[in-house]
Amino acid sequence: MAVVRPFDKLPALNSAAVLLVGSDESLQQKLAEAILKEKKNFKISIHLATSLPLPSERDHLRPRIDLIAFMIDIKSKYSLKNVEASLAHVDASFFLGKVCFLVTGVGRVNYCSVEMNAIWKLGEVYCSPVLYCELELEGIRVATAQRLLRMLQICAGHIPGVSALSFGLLMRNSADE
Amino acid sequence: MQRRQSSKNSKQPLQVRHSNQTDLSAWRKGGRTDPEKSLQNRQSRNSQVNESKQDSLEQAVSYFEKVQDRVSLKKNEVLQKHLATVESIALQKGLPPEAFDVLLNVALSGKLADAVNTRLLKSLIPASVIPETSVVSSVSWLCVSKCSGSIQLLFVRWLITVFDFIDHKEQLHALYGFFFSFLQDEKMCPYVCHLLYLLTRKESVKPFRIRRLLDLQAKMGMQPHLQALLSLYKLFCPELVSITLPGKMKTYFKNSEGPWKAAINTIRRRNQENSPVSQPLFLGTAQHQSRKRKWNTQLVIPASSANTNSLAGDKEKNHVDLYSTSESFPVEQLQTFSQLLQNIHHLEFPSQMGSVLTNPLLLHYMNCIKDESIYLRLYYWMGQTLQEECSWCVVDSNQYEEEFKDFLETIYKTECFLQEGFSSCEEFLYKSLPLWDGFCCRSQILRLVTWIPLSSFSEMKSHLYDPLAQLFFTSSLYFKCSVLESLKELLQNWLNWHVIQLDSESDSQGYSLNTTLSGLVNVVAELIHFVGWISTVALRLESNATFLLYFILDFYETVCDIYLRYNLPLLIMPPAGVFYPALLSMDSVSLNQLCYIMYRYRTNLVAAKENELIKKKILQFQFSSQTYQEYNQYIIAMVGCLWTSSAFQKDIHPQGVRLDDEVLKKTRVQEFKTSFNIVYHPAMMGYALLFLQQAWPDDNTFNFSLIKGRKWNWYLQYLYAQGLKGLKLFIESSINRVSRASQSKEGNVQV
Amino acid sequence: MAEKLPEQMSDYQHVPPEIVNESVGHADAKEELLDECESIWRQMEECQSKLTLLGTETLPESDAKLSLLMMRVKALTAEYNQWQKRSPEIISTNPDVLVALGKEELQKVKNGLEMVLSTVQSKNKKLREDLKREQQWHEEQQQIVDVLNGIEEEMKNQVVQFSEKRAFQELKNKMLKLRTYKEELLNALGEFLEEHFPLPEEDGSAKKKKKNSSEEPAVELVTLHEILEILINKLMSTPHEPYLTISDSFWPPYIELLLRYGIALRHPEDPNRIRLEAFHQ
Repeated sequence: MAVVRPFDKLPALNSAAVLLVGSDESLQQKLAEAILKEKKNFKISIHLATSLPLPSERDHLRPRIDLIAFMIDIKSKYSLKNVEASLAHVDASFFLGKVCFLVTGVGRVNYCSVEMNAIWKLGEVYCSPVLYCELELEGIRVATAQRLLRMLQICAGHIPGVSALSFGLLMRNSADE
Repeated sequence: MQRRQSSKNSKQPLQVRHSNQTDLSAWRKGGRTDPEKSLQNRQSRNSQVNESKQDSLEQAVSYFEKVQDRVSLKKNEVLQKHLATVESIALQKGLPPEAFDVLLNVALSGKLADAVNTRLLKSLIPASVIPETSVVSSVSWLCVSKCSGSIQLLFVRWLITVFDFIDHKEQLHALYGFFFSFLQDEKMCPYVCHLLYLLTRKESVKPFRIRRLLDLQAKMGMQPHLQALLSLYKLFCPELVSITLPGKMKTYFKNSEGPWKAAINTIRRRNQENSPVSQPLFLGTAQHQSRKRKWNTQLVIPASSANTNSLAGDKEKNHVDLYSTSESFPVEQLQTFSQLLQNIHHLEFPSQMGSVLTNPLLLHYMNCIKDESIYLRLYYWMGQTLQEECSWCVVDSNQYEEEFKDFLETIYKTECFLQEGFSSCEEFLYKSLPLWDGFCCRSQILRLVTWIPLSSFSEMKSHLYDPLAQLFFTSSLYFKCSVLESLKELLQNWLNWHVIQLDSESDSQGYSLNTTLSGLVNVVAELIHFVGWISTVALRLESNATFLLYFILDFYETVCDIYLRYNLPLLIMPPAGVFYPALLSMDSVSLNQLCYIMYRYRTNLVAAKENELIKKKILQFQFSSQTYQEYNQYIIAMVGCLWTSSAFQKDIHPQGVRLDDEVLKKTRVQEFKTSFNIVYHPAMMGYALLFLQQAWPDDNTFNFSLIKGRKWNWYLQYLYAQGLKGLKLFIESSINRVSRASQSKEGNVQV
Repeated sequence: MAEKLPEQMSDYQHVPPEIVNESVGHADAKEELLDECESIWRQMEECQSKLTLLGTETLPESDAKLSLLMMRVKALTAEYNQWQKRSPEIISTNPDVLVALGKEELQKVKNGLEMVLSTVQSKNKKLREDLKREQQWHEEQQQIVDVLNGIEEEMKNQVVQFSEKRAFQELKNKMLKLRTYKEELLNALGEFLEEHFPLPEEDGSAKKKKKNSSEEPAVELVTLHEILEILINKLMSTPHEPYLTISDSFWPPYIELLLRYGIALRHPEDPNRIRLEAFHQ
């Protein structure tokens, strides 16, 4: 099994790579399309996976991953379990600012089957930001894609003077300071 | 309890007024020849269908009116048919006011099986309003214990859900004691509490009721519903309720909306679609002339004034009206401002508080009265509504989102009108901001943020600042600027509130003021520090974008004047991460703004120092020496840059622009010392160039060093004439020029 | 490992400036920039070769947070030291590069200022509207205050004119009305009680049971009406001692009814005594 590592390869010039991990493939696809539609001044490669670990045979084809976004659907307990299981296959140094949790389905909090507290705790334990959204709505999907892109730019080192590490620090909830 | 007979049929407990339109027979006879029919013919295509539906509902209702005891549902096809008719029409269009009397009577009389009663109650969905009389007579059925406990419970839940649709409330209020006695029933208790919560007025609060509630609480333990009612009692009569109750509760009542809410909403929406002008959410304003209770009329929650009718009745009977001593003016008739002025001393709020929101006349009235209970009613209603409607981005419902936006907009406007933030709205924001995506209803949410009332820092931090910061850092430049704008308005609202507070408390004791003042100062300071922090980060992330800098400096234009303009002893300097990007910015707008801000800081600090000297007493709130120190450091840097060309040597701020000559020489800039003075500063060079062209039209060498001596003064005049007023104020106040004639570039820092 | 991260990060934070104008004369500039890029890339490769030597490390399930926080402290300290050590770097001194950079910056400033301009314009417009609205608001509030002051004044005058005699007369009238109302209420209550709460009939089933269960001699029962009257009188005439002893002449179901609906209360110590709930207090 291959553990995903943040610095296993040299970065490609003027590009960044994001890995979306989540059990709902159609939603993943939609989000990826939204990200690709955004205007940007660098190349972006999006990798989709339903769960980790990634198959190691195609390892040489993959670029360096700059950001992993774990997608959790508020309406599905399985999506949370899936993400929790996948976290074990991520190198610890990834959690120094290059991981985020994307919680979708917030528009239907009333139908939520996942304990919001559990999600909040996940972000806590793994020191990674939790982004809430409703990917089924186009407007919010676009807005979320833009937010992911901004984080990706930072994680890939495209913003001078701001490292993924220091950005991760800013994104922490200060409740636990 | 025994009764010789059910007096139900022989005697109505409360007389039905003839003036009332809700008489079933009148409705039935008038059905076909009603002059108002033209209204419903608007939708001519459907009218045929409507007519037949109307017929079948009429038949069903008259069947239920005459139905005999204990008809079995299974065996009786006629009953089945009529029941189905009522159900389907109720779900499609809602029931007309006239139908409620009959259906409630039959459902609560116990004539039919519980299964039928339940189905009947569940289909009691109002198309427009529910006549109060039908509710009153159905309450009398509860007295006779003819229906089972579960039906009673269902009825009370129904009553809670449709409370706002009942056209009058006065007689219902008279039944307060009756509802109160139902608290005994353990199953009913939570719902009865909720109902009483809706009904309670100041005069309902009686010592014996408080005793009873406390007894119940002792018996059943701290129940949220009992606490809710008690805290309401306490609010009305604090002298009577001496126990301490927990402060803020999240939710007092379980959602009792039952099976009706969804149907009511659907019908409301459908009616809106059908109406030619779409009516914004919940706005049963007084201006609404159409109070016609017809099948197709659009749903309008009545802004009914409470007791005009009953008053007239009482007078005839020569009763002494024990409650209200003066006649009140019906709010439906309140149309003009002059009417408001004439009747301001005998107005009464509508039973539906939501209708106040869009009525400026009533808002004016609300602004004048000090009655806490009015705000409480409004907050309660708003809190419920926001909580229920909060699923703000329900998929596939654009129209719904639009409605919700309108509603939030209305709340914002009301807050502006009353110059006051609503606690129910604050709770809503605190609940939803942590889950917000930063996109849905963006401008509405950010506007509502500007009216968040002052509260403790820890609360604001976890509910407002933290979620906002996360969104802020990951969102677009435009979003960042909107957030900064909102926070500036929030700050201004707090400061204005403080000024008003000062005005109204000027004659009261100083001590109470100080305790609140220190709290206020802390909370305001935290907000300013928060904005300073996110601004520093944002400038970094957006590589010092001019647009962003404009909003940040705009915020500090308020901050720098807090002491003089708002009379609050607080001055906080911008962090270096804001100050230096502004000082070294490429555009004169930011530089000019910074100059103005520093000038105002100076004025405020000087005034504070003078006041300290005059009063000669140690104020509790002295500006820390750190503020003065920071100000002086910044001034040294600014004067060093703009005037004396010595910033690289003299700047003493740890994050400042002090640089070794070695490094500077590497840039291969000849006269690096002067790089940021008012001639060479990248923001100013454009002006210098234009000035050169004017002063030496024939010289094309762009020799900036010509600007010195008398020319330097001319150049200054030129800059002032270009509208750089901030720069003018700054130079004239902060730079002591030894002699205007001589070429003195010596700056002198005061304070 | 943590110490290595920041190094690498700051290394490629410098995205080389683009030279917009690529004519032959600027070949030197381009060359210079490319050289700079090459040297940065070499540094990157060096760092990378160090990084690849490090093994992978996944988080222990039990104390993920603690070990993560430890890593963070290390990494942040390293990054902090890196920043402290760093001295300002000078960008290229090649005039072509500088002109290109300057143009780019000015273009950005221009765009920014255009946005600021339109924002300021729309803000001004909104401010004008707000001012108009608030002026109207203020005017109306002022009028309301004036009217309220007028009403207050009027009422003050009325108070002055209020003669004692008239006040007395009015109070008397009120009393009279109240008395009639009280009469009416009592009558209504009496009728209501008579109609709905009669004495149990002699051969009523409830009575029968009682007779069967006990051998007590039958007592003349009093009506609910009377019980209530006694209770009311007791409370009114001797408020310090409002209790009443339950006698055999009270029909138990009625007593139970009064107690259940909170009309009457039992004595805390003596279950045989009851009083009327103090509705008036």
